[in-house]
Amino acid sequence: MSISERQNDILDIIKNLDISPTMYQNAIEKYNHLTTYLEQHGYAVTMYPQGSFALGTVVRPIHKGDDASYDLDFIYQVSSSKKSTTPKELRDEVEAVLRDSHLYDDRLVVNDECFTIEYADIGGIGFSIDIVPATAEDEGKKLQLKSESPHPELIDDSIAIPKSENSRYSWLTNNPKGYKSWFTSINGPYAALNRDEVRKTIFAQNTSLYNSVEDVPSDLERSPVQRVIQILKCHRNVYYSKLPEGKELKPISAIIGTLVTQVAEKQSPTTGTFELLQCVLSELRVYSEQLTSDQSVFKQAHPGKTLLTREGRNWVLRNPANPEDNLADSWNKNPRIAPTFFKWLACVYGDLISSLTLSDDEFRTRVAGALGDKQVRHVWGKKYEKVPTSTFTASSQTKPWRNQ
Amino acid sequence: MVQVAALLQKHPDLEIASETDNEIVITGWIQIARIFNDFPIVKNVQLEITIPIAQDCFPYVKDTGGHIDTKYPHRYLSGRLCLATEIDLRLHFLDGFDLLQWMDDFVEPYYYSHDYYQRFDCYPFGDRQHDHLGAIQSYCDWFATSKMDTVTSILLQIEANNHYRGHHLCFCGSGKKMRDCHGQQILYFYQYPQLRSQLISDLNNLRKELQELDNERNRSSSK
Ligand SMILES: [Zn+2]
Repeated sequence: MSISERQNDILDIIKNLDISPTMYQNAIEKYNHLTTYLEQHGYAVTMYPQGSFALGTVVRPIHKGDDASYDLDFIYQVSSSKKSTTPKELRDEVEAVLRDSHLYDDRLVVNDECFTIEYADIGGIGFSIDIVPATAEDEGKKLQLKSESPHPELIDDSIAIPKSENSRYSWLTNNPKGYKSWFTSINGPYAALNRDEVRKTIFAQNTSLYNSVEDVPSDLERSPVQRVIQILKCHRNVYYSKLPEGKELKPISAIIGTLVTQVAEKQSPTTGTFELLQCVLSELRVYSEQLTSDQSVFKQAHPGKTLLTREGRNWVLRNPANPEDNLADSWNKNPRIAPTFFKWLACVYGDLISSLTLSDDEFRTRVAGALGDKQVRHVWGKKYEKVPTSTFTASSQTKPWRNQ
Repeated sequence: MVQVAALLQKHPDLEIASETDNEIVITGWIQIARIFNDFPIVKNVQLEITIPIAQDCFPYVKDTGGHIDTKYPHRYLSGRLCLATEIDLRLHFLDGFDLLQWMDDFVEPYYYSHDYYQRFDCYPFGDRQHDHLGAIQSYCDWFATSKMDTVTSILLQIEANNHYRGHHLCFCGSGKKMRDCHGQQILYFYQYPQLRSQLISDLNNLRKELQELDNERNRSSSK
């Protein structure tokens, strides 16, 4: 039994759920096509990726046990100023532009706050592009945000997006570019350490796509920070898909990404993927004490623990690039989200850290429980399997009962 | 005895611990390797199985390995596992009890449900409500209705009528002839006397439970 071999085997499953270089190239082509169209038609806009596509932490979501498509998020930022338009006008303007093209009109799905362009499946896997209209945040607002932010240097990239509530539109501040700068400042040193090796591996596996190592897009490199975020997202997707009301309880990717990056910031960039995963899980376990203990007691016991705090009764996780954005907002509306989050993290520890030193069969069972048996079987075949599992026939799905 | 031998053959880590005129007690370990909803569970559990010799009683299991959380809703304080309602068991083994099938269809699913519940806070195959309401749910499933008054109407009339008559109106109150309605499911209770006596005993227990509730209410209102 080799722990590092097991870790690599887990990573193989994550890599299988990551966006493939072919898929990535395809997405970039679609994106370029869209920006060219906009340029040719004289629209003064910039489009840039946000979220997991921008951060290199994409994983394929699962949908009722089957593979679903990748969602790639983009910001469509107009050059006109916030003062010259209303949220509703901006939204309608972007819709008109996208509708104007027959190519996009057919595949356009209109939502309240974004537009989705759905593309046909490639190799059985589909993807869609979400477009969020935006304009630069005004200078007065930026000054205010800077005074509130622990990272004022990130604020200049702030944008305003139309937010809909009961079909009334208002502006909402957001800052995906600033968030990416913050993420990159921490992820960069981690990524730099194994960059050459990572690029060589990607090139070796995709010689039909690239002529040389230099051709490999840097967006495809994955550091331990990015891998840990991907591992947690994959585990979350499987775990919460089985919970009753899992959709409402599921922690958003931004919470996972921000917490991992904050923990990574305090570690040496030489920290490996599983070492970092263990760090993150151990660190966050301490925060679960806030579920039960008074905040003053918690602060006294753990003076340095300020990543995820409680202010009054509210959970607070500040978006590092936007002081007005509490990423844990939904936790304060549904009191079951927080306890479920910490229970989930304990499951991740048992499945992907404790399991590493168990017997082959126990290791396999835990990873299959964590990431889905089908997925594990697809990547591992029968490796580590000593006892095959049998299903339950309809008549053996019996229900427990207690008589007092 | 033949069934016990087959059980020991299938689970080599089980052995007979004691044997009297009334019961056989088997102790040891079994391996559970099952999968549902893409979630596998593979584990060894230590247990004690008591098999009554009397034809009419089902065996029962005690968790001797501490696998079942003491807070798990479907566990008796004694460590005895609450596998299923009596009527679920009887309906499952209409033509005779089979020890191996009982292990596969009740004991293993029980352990699987427990572990699944501990992790996901829900039962993979559902569960029965405690006490006699749980039995009523079993009858609801059997008669394919979710309506309490429909199922109690059927149960009371099976209790009251000693013979099955397919051309009579169905006990459920649909106004259709029995044979065109719940006839097939009702007929079982006349073909298999053990089902009807279980039904009568469940109804009696239910009445007792309701009576106690009533008494309690009267006591508290008279204060
Ligand atoms: Zn009927």
